[in-house]
Amino acid sequence: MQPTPVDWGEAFRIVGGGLLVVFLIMSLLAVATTIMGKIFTARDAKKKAAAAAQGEAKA
Amino acid sequence: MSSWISNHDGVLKILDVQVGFGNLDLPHIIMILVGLGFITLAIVKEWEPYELLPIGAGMILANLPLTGLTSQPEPGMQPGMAGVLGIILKYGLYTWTILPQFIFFGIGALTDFSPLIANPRAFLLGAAAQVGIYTSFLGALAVGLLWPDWGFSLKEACSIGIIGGADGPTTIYTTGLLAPDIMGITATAAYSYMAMVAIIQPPIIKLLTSKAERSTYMKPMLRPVSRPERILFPIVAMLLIILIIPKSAPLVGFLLLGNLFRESGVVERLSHTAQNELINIITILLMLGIGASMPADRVMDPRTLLVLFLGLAAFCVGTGAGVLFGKIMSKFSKEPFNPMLGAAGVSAVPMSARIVHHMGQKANKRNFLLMHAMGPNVAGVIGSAVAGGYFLGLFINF
Repeated sequence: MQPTPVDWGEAFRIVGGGLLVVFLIMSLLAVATTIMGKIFTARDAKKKAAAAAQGEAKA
Repeated sequence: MSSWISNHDGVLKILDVQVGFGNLDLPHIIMILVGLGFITLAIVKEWEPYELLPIGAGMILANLPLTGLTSQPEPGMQPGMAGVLGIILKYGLYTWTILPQFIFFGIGALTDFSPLIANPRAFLLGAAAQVGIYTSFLGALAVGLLWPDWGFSLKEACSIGIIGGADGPTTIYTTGLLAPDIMGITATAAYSYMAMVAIIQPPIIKLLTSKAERSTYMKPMLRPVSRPERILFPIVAMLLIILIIPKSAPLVGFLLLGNLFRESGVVERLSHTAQNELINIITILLMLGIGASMPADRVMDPRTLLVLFLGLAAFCVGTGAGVLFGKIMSKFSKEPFNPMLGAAGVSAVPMSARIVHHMGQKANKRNFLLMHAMGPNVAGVIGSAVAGGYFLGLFINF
């Protein structure tokens, strides 16, 4: 297969776009996962605190 | 019957039965020897045996003359004329491309994303390690400047670059759609380099880090991840990634669907099947198909060596970029951060994570980096699938 001449402008646009997309998506996932973690950690801590308080009240 | 032995149109016949020896030429013999080499590596060295053994076997079968095994079904073909390897190639890899997606489904069912959910900054290391993909993409295009006859097209350059993700199914799926002619060699390169992680990565890590950096101690335990988080993660990630890059859906969608099956805890049998029977059956079909996609006339080309070299370069640059990004992260991290973790961002799961763990323990016996390294490692699987989806989005319109 004889390739057509390379359009370097397009090639660098592809590289720039690709890196941007990968870092953007991974950053968004990192943020979403961090928020999710904070919500669930806080919820678990609340549950534990409530259970502890209930235990103390019974005692 | 005219004679015992005859030779018509280059086909040797004995008693009117075609004989393979007459058509066995040097390129076929070389490919058969390469196939035997793969089988030897799989059995003796146990290098990626689940992949290299069937690939080697497929390569041998595809290069034995006059078998018809790789004849692909075509309209109007007489019944029984299509070969089983041709059917796998056509419907599993070229036309329907369903096999890599089901492998991803099984991988999703096998993957525990907890180390990544517990340490979300590992996503960035998984992104940094994809730099190798784009470097080799440019390298593949630059080949045409040096040797115009051996130059690669944009689609071929994408397929070569994706080897740097060290992710077999992503390489197969992307190449199958963009440049099917080089699919066999890119897939073999991806799996071979994954098998050679222990040889390729340590020198690069050592070159880019000091002993003090490698011995950086990190607390071995990550925070526990609750079940609702593990269930929500694949759903949130699937929606977010596919809404940005729809063409990544066949890979990312199936990976995270498999993971949802695993984490939901309510479809135990389906999850078990995806992790065992399904992935095993698909692995047999896919790897035989990859081996069969390498007939001598397609592989015996100087460009094959260039593909192998560029793929290796992509893998090395990806490892290096991950480590360098790890070094940047360690500068900004409040807690001690071992920059070697960046090398695990290539998606050779779990080999890269193990290499980082072993090197960490060698530098500091107290270190136990395995769980920390699994985060970027599984992030790399997502990162390379996103990179593959991005390339497909440029050229394929469903």
